Formats: sequence, C-alpha cells, structure tokens
Amino acid sequence: MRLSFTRRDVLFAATGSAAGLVLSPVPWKLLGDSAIWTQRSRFAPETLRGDITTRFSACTLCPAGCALRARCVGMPAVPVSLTGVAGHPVTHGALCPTGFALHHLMRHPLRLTGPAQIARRKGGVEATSRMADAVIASVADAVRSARTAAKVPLAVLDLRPGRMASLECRRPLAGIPGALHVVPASREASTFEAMRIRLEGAEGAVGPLGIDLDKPRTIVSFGAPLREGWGTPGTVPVLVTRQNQGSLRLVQIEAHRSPTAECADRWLPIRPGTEAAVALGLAHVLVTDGLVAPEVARRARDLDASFRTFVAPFEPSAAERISGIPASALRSLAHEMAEGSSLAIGSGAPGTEPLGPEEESAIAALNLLLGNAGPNGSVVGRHELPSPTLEGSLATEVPLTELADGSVGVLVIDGMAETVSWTLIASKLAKTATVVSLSPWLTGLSLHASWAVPSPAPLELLAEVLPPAGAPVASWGLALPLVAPPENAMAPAVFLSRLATALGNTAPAPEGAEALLKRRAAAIVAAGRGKVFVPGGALMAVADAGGPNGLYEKLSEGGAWIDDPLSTPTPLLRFTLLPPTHQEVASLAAVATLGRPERQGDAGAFLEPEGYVGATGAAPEPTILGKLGRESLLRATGAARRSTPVAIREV
Amino acid sequence: MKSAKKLVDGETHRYGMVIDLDRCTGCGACMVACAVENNVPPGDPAANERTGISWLRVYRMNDGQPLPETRTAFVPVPCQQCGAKTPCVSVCPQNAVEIDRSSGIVGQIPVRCLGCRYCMAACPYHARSFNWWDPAWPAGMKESLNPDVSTRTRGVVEKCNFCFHRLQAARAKAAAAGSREESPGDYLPACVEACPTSAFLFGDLDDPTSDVAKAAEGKGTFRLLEKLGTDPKVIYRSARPWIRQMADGALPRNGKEEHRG
Repeated sequence: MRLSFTRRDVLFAATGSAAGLVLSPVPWKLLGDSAIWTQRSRFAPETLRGDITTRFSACTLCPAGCALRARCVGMPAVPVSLTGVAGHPVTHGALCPTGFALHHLMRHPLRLTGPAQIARRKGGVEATSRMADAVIASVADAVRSARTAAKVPLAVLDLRPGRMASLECRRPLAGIPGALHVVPASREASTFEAMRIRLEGAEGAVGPLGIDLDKPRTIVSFGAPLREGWGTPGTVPVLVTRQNQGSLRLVQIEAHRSPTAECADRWLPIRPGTEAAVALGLAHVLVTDGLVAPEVARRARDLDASFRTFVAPFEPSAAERISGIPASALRSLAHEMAEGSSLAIGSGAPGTEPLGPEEESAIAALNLLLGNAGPNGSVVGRHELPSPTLEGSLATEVPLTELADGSVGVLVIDGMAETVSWTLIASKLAKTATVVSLSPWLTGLSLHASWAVPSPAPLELLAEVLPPAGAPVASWGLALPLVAPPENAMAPAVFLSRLATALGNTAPAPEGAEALLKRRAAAIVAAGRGKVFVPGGALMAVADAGGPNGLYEKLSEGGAWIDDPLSTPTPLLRFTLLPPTHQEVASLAAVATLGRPERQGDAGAFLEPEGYVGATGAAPEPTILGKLGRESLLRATGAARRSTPVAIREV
Repeated sequence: MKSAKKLVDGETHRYGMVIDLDRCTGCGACMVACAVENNVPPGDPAANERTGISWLRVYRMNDGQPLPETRTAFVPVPCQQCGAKTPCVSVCPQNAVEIDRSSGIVGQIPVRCLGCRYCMAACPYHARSFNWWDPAWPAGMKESLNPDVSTRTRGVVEKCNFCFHRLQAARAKAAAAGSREESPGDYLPACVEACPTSAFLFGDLDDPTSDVAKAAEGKGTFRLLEKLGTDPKVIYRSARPWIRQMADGALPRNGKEEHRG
C-alpha cells in the first residue's frame, strides 16, 4: 500500500476539487453576491420616511379643477402620489396625465422661486434674481412714466376671472388712477358664448350655457378634443360609455388626426382653417332642405330671406372646394344632424381663441338651427355661481378686446394659462410698455415679461374651483395647499397691494383667501340651492351642511357643491342668428371663402386648430410626461407647430 | 377564451386584470400614474422608445385601412404576469425573477439582477425595461418619491409587478384588523386606480364572484400571443374583431401599422 502523495495525486485532487466546486452552490453564491456588491446603491435616491397621511385638494392648473386625493409622507407632509376622488360628481374621479404628476411641478426646473428680471437672449431668456422691493419700485416707476405716455398706465390681465381672488386684486387697483382690471373676452366655452350672445328675449337673463351630455345622439365636433378631456377629464368616461353603447355618434371635423379623431365614429379631415365654410355648408343644407327644427322655424325672427341669402353661396359643392369634404358627405351629415338630437361644438375653451369668432359664430348658428337652445336641446342654461358682495370700490373690469391698440403702459399678467394669444396682448401694449408676469413658472406668457414675481403654484395656495367649461350646472370646490410656497413667492393680491402702496395710494390689506372663500360659502348657503358631495358619503342638501362654516369644512375634506339645474329648462327660442350689426358677420363670409389650401402648401407648415382644454400650455410639462412622448411615442413629439385659424389668417 | 389555469400548489390567489380596449382612449394616465407610483425616473435626454423605462406602455395600433377610414385602438401592455412557462423566470441566471406563490404575481428583484437582459430577450411582450442610465430626478424632486418602492440603479432590469407593495400594504392592513386575507378593495394597482374610463378591472381571477373573473370569461376576451401558452394573467376585451385578430398576429402586416413603442 502506497501512502505517499505523488504530484499526480495532488493534480487529481485539485482537478476534482475544482470540478466539485463548480457543482457546489459556492460560485453561484459568489456570482449573486457580486451582483449585489456591484450595485451602486449609494447613488440610488433615497425616499422620504414618515407617517403616511391622506389629504384632499384640487388641481388648479387648468379651469377643469379636478379634485384629487394626495398621499402624503412625513411632517410637514409632502405629497408623493395623487389620484382622483372617486364618486366626485363633476370629475367622476378622473385626472389627466399631468394631474397625476402635479406634485412634481412644484420642483420643476423652470419654477421661479423669487422675483426676477427677465432678459431676452439669443435662443431664450435669462432670469436674474432681484429683491421684491426693487422689482416693485421699478414697476411703480414704470407706472408713473406711463401716466403721461400711455392711455392706460396700469392694466392687470386676469387670465382666470370670476374668482374671489380676482375681486381681491381689484381692490388695490381701485385706488390707482387709470388702472384697469382686464379679462379675456369670454369665461365660457366659445361655442356657448357665441350662442348666448345671440339669445335674446328669454325669460330672464341668459346665464352661462353648458351641455347635457345625456341628450345628444350625434356630436359634430369642429376640432374639440372631446376624448382628450374637453372641459374636464370627467366628461370622457361619459362619452366613452355612450359611444360604446351605441347611443352617441361622434363626428370629428379636424385637419389633424388627433386622438379624438382617431377614436371618433367618423373623422372628416378638412383643410386647415376651413371650419367656417364647413359649418356654413351644413347650415345651407339645413335651410334649403327644410331640416331646421320646427319650433325654430316658427319662432326665430330672422330665419328669413337675409339668412338664406347669406348661406346661399355655401352650397355643399362650394364647401367641398374650400374644405375638401365631399359634398355628399356634407349633405348626409346635415341630414344625420337633423334626424335626431345633435350638437355642434367648436374647440373653444374659456377665454381662448382656438377657433376665431367667425367660426364660432357659424357653429352657434348650426346649434340654433337645430333647436339646441330649446327645451329639448342639448345646450342647457345654468345658474351663475353665487357670489358675495364685497365692500369698497373695485377697479373697472374691461374685456381685453375692448382695449385700444397700443394703449397699455404697464401690464401685469395674473395667471399661468396661455389662454390668450401673445399676439393679441402685444397689440394692446404701448411701444415702451413694461410687462410683469405673476406666473409660478418661467414659461408661456412670462417669457414675454420684463419682470417676474412668482405667485404660489397649485397645491401651494388656497384657491377655489369654479364650474368647468361646458358644465350643465354650477359647482364649487376648494383647492387646499399641501405644501408651503417658496419664501419669496407672492400672491397677486399682495403684489398689487404693495404696488399700490409704492405708488402712494392707500391700499386695503388683502383680506386673505380663507376669509374670502368663506364669504362665497355663505353666499351659496344663502342661495339655498344645490347639494354637497362628501367623499365616501351620499349627497346632502346644502341646508344640512351646517351653515357656511360647515360647508367650508366639508369642501376642505374633498367635497364639492353642486348646483340644482335651472327650474325652467332653457326656454330660449327667440334669437338672432347672425345680427347684421355684429362685427363678425362682415368677416364671416370672407373667412369662410378664403382660398387657403395653396397658401398652406406654400407655407410648408402644419397648421391646425388647437383646443386642448387641459393643462397643456398652462404650465411646464412634468418631466415624467416624457413617458408619453419620447419614451413611448404615444403622443406626438417633435417640433410640429400647432396654430389656430386666427393665426392661419395672419400667415 | 379558454378557461384560465387554476391555482398551483401553494397559491391562494391569482391576481390578474381585464383591460377593455373599447374604453381605452390612449390618454396615458395609467403610464404616468404607474411611473409616479413606482419611482420610475424621467427618461434620460438620450432615451427613446426603446431605451426608456415604462412598466406599462400604451401601444397605438390601427386596422391598416387607408385614411380617413383607419380605425385606431390603444393597447396598454404591462407585464402579462405569465402563469405557465414563464419565460423570464426560466432564463434568469440570478433567480432575480420570482413568482409569489400567494398571489401569482411575477416579481422582479433588482438587487439580484446581474443586468444580462436574458429576460428581456425572452419576454415575448417586450414588457421589461433596462436601466441604461443612472436614475435622475430634477433637484428637489426626490422628496416626491414613493417611500414604499425602492429606487433602482443603472444596470438592472425592472418591470411591472402589479404594484406588489400595495398588496403588502393591504395584507398589513388586514393583519392589523385580525384577518388573514386582504380585502379585495384594498388592493388595486396604480394604473387601475388611475384609469379615467375604468378600462381596467383587477382582482382575483380564481374568485368566481369577482368582477374581474366574470369579465375574463365574458364575450370578446382574449390574451396576447395566446398561442405561446404562457397563460398571461392580463386579459383583454374588445368587441372589435380586428383587434382580437391582431392580438395573435393574424392580420397581414403591411409595414404601415403603428406598432410604435
């Protein structure tokens, strides 16, 4: 027996051990551990720790004002995720994609955290931090200079009028000689505004109009992004349900194959900017084929020779030449609209001009011909939101369109939404005008300003939620602050109060948002109408809400107030289709017959109506929304420039 | 649709979802809600539709008809949570993909992941994403991250796990209440909760009383690439035949389809 080890034995043992090791768990364990060790964990961002709480607020980026439930962490609580409020009677629990990332916008790279001087540089703008007092002093100097150089030394453009905060801004302005409070032309969806101004002789004043979404069997949309959240994202589920049930047919007339056009039952592509010709072509068929609603034909005052003469040139064949829609398609669409309850709608949001007034005028005429303003129509009137009376004098409110061109010396833009085109604003400015932006972000209209004084962003301030565009009944809600605003952010009323003081006027101290909103709550309780929604609970009568303070508390907990429908369902059948005195009439025919196709080709640009009534354009896009564009191509990306028919005419 | 596979040993639930494609408007709210909930970082400036990270991706597809008669559908595609022959599980050398036996959820464990991307090659649904870059949020935005989900680093694969942390939270809530079973209403993934048109239904596919189980057995349901036999727990529903046909790749491909993403 050999007891000595040879070199061969050692080699056998080593080889056997190596082979055995491979078959053992050791190398796999080492592989796994190395995977963990090589993790660059120290670079992984750490998340906040703390108690989890749930709070309610609302997204005030756009006028839809969707209610939201925030999941917050720590103390002070920081929102980490947002969702809609289930069962909410206005928003139906829906949020748009931007709403889900709203809390990211507080820390967006374009967020302004303090007053700044804006200078235009090649390729962009540059913001230089300034002290608030210095900015206010500079603006006050500009106002003093403008007193001799401009007709209107100071104008405050309120991009979202009708709020209690708007009233509070008008108080300090009242003491400044010549100062005006300027508002966009319209506070409601443009189609309905165009209809409302033609309704006269009704029983009482005609208030805001909205859609009863349960009524129309056909909706003919002129570029309105109905499936993308027109008015409020809460309308989308209703439309989708009805479309799937077959009780609603959506016809989209639009140059671009938008998401709504993709989901429509029928998409009629048109040449950009020819909406008026299509609408008048439809009106022509309705009138000449005797398809006007019988009650309208009986009661409308001016469905006479003058209107017939007006639409006579817009035979379907003529409309086809202009718009590109086949005459047969136009004719069949007009007959379809006349057969059942149907609604024509433009893409106009409150105060915006996606379609020009001429196009909206023609669309309004279609609705009036179809009897949509009558008791059986899809367009319904609603009560005005109850408002308290404020003591003291308020600055005069003037529509922006009524300001003389080149008349404004200093313009303060209160708001962040790009609901008014800069072209229109710029036309009202004097040559040496100073523009001050109160937007929280350096985007949109604030890029045209000389000074920026950031106001608190949504989720940073107490605000109210007014009825969204197209709502059939009034509603009211609260957007509570969830996080503190930057130290140097300033509410518009505070800025204007300090500006008034710098100009040597005695301005009343701002009353504060909570006190003002409680006064609105008191006005609602005093009106005695409507019901109160509380998350997870049943609707209760406003009388049972516990008075103004009780109503305010319920709304602070994610609730909402919903008005009652009008007791008399829109008996508004006396109207003027196209009053000869109206300025739009003269230009409508010209607009509708413009031969633009060749010019479009020459321009080499893709121009189309833009009417998204969501947060787009109101604020910078949250960076996470890149998931929908660049990272998935779900949404169009790139430099495709959207424009409006108004802009097309300017080309 | 074929009857769903029954529970395997040890499974107590088989969570799945039914997505009604006729209700999906392609708004993308589910994608954003998913990214926010799961701390998916914004894409690097160089990221594109292939290299970006999305646990749930909404694809646009059409029926191939000429414009303007083209019909479009949007198809949200999360991880299909395969119940059989789960390709990603079988190819992972690191055991970084595991099936939770109590829920049937296929989970990804980033700290085990070696970054070999075999799972991405194996997944027939392209439901996995690789972290090509270090996750980066704008300054101050890290405070907005969800504390229930750990962040991942560069070099690992990640995917949808039906918001498993929400299941854990539901179980914790049930345990605190003295129950061993989570309440169905307490567990909903973020995409399901976010959908404004209620296109998503979620629940236990093996609970015959649940809405999702009833919907899964309803008319017009189908699964993506069903012929592969992976038994996905994500079930689709549509009344439009061309969508159902396309789910199995039966329609002729003319190169103009918008299978983007």
